[in-house]
Amino acid sequence: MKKEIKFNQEYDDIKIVELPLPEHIFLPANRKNNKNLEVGDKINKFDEVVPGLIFPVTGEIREFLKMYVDGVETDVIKIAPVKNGGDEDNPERNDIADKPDDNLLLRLKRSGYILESIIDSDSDIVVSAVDTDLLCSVSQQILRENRKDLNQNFELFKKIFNREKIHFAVPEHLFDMVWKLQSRGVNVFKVKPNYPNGIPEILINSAIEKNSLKSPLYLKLEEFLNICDAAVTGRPNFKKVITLTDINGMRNINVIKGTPLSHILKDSDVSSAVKVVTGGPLRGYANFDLDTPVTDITDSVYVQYEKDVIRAVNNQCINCGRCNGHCPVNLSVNLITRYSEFSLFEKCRDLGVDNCIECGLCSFYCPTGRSLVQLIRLAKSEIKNLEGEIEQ
Amino acid sequence: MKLIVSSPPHWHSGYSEKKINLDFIIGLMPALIHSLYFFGMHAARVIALCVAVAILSEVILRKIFKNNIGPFNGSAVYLGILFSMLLPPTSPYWLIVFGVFLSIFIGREIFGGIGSNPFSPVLVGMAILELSWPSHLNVNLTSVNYNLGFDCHSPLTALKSAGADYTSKFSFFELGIGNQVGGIGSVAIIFLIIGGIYLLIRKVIRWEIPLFFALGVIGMSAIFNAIDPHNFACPWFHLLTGNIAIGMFFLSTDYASSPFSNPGKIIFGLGCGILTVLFRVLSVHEDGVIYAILIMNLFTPMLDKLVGRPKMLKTAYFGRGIK
Ligand code: SF4
Ligand code: SF4
Repeated sequence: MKKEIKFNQEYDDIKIVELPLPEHIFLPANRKNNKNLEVGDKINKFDEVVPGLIFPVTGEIREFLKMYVDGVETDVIKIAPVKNGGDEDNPERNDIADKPDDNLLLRLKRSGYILESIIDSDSDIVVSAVDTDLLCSVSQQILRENRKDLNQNFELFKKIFNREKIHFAVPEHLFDMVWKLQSRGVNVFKVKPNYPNGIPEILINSAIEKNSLKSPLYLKLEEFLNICDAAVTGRPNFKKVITLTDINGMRNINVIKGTPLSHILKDSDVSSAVKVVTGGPLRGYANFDLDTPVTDITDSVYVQYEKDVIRAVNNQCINCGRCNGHCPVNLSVNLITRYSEFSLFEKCRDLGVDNCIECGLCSFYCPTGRSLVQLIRLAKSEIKNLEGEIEQ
Repeated sequence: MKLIVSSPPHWHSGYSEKKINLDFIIGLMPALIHSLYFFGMHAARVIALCVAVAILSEVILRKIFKNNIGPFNGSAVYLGILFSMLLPPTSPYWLIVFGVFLSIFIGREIFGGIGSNPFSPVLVGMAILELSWPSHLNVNLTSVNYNLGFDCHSPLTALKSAGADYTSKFSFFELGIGNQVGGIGSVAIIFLIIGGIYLLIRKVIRWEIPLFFALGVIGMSAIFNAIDPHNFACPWFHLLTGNIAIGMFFLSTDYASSPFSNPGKIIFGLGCGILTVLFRVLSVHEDGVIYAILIMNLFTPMLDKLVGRPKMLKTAYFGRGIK
């Protein structure tokens, strides 16, 4: 893999396949709010036993436990789904009034979206079909497979949010599929499918430069479709599309949120895997536990084997300037990380370390293999601590 | 099952320090081969001794300073070869040993090793040698016993002592292909340029410093030349003599002692070029490249303040599914 690293995000048409139900799913839910639930309780799909907590499957509660979800310690409910139980029913589909009304807000709220402030504001909305990291083709594949419905969904979306125009960022190679939307009040603009152009901060910034937008808001294509769906049915979407990359190549799969990684990796040769990264090779999170559930932000799962792993080293900076040259936000990375190494965090702040978007390009290019992003994160968190202390 | 965890990114370009040094050495190869062809065993002796002393001093000094950062990565080899390129073929053993050792010791290790040196290490060693034993480095004196098949009169000495009119006996072509006396490698102008272009293509060095170094030399010498063409040589003569070619691509582009910001690089390059010509024209020295770069090294921390302001790329998200 190392030899052929490419920053191009043009991936082939890889059909999204449904994965069978796992043995267990893990549903993050604060235990304080669901004291009335107990181990052994039978639950039904779409039941709202506790306000704000909708069950994604029919099954039985097995355990209440704590685990790390997206790197944060969280209460989770372990549920054993019943196979073939609670088959898909067809939810009632509601009409959307021309102006957002209370029913719409209620349906959105029931699905976990509290969007009043956005509906009332007049900031521009940018829907992005560009993936945020490499080895992930979720957004482009969803675009491919849903291109027929997009027109209708954009109409709906404009009604929900009471907007004249929605902005839509698509990767260059898929522009032909959607350019017709332009005549329907959607501003479609091309983005070169090269890392890091899909990172929200960078995408939005280039959108502002191209279209002079007003305090734009970023929305992933997948989430855009979920919101449209929720507005009509009043039900959240429990499915999540994931790109799995392992020794067999890339695959797009569709799983229920809360599915543990081990279930996704069932078909892979995990015995020789040494690292499981969720969220992409440049910005992702290395998991230490294969029970970790899939969440909204798990766009990709990338399995690394012994030969792919880079070992952390603490070499001295040779001041070559490659990190600065590749930094999309123009930071003096070599100085910042040296200061951070020697605990001079205030100097890091003066150099603008907070602007770092953690794209990982500096570490990627550093010839001595310094853990630059780690040092930057250290500086950021220390600065936060310092500021917290000052406020107190 | 045990999994490895680490902070992102989980990929690396694979381009390591070792490969950088290898690329630098490859960049010097054309000049090195030219020197071997020209001076034969004399050049081989100088180069081999330089490299050996460089490696040895690095190993010993790192032991003494308990500086065990990083494995052997070829930087000493590169430093040794680069140093040898500046020496005349007749340099005595003790001079080489002394010079290379000082380059590594005072030039680099004393400041904390690779990346921390405020001055280009090779130049520190060379400057000390030039100030202490000028006669051993005087290319006119050291080449009297050679018959190289061309005029063994250093073009820069000729310029200094007899003015620009006298230099018309040197043809630019002869100078360019290395038919002049000087350091064993630094005279091979065209070969150094080939090596430099290799470095530029491989993106080992950036184009700003070499280009503006050359522009500085051309601009400054053109001014002098316009004032008095009989006394001051034309820009092309300056570019094709002395250490300018090697300085442009190899000496001034030392990572640690040159600025990393792009505007800084431009000013740095220009400064090196202008100072070189000023030294050549106004000082007692024939070739000012070494001192010019050392002086500009002093300004590096200041020039690094010229980086642009960081961009603010804050944005707001909504919906779930974003970090
Ligand atoms: S991760 Fe590195 S390259 Fe990326 S924004 Fe931060 S400092 Fe710049
Ligand atoms: S890329 Fe690495 S070695 Fe080069 S300046 Fe940046 S931190 Fe230093």
